[in-house]
Amino acid sequence: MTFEILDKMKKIFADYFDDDNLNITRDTNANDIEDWDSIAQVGLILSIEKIFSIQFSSGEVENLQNIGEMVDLISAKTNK
Amino acid sequence: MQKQTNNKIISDIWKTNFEEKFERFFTVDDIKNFSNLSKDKSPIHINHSLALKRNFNNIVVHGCLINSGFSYLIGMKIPGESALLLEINTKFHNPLYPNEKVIFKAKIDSVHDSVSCIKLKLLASKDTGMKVCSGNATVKVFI
Repeated sequence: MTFEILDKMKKIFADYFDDDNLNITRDTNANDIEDWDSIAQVGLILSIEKIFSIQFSSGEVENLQNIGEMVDLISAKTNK
Repeated sequence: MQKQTNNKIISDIWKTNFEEKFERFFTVDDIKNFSNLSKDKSPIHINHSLALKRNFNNIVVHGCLINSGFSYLIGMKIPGESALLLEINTKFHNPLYPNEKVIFKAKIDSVHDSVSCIKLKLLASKDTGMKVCSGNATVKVFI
């Protein structure tokens, strides 16, 4: 399940940053992608909510450290 | 992921389907002023006879000047002074001419507490119902 989510996340990031060569792993965080600023953060979260048909609460995405933690959060929300 | 600092919830204030609208018209002077400001002096905006030659009924209001109506709605009404416009996409369907009344509407399509944003559907139409411009916007809301 989490592999499928990570694959979708790779597509979301490639589309958002218009870069098919981004190396997206569970460990990737905002420091690894130059254009991943606060505006991009908003766009990425909105894309993720749309693609996975979920809505995060205000606190859920605040303290995520990397994409792996986001994948786990999506997995938990989509398994409910 | 990056940290966010705003813990307040915008969905307590802003609800899906909430709508604001206003109407106005753009004068020839508005078009001239915008031509000078933007430096877009394409003849269809300033040259009446050329506009007619291209099968328009008059000079045409700049698309980006029409978009200024959405700027007003977002910055002053929905959500108003707490707005930070992050993204706007608009499509133009029919030409708007000077002194034609145009009705601008912005409607909340979705509310996202996760990033304190609302998504808006945008529509500008003439009072005949003819669609002039439609689109969407993503707006950060500071509360």
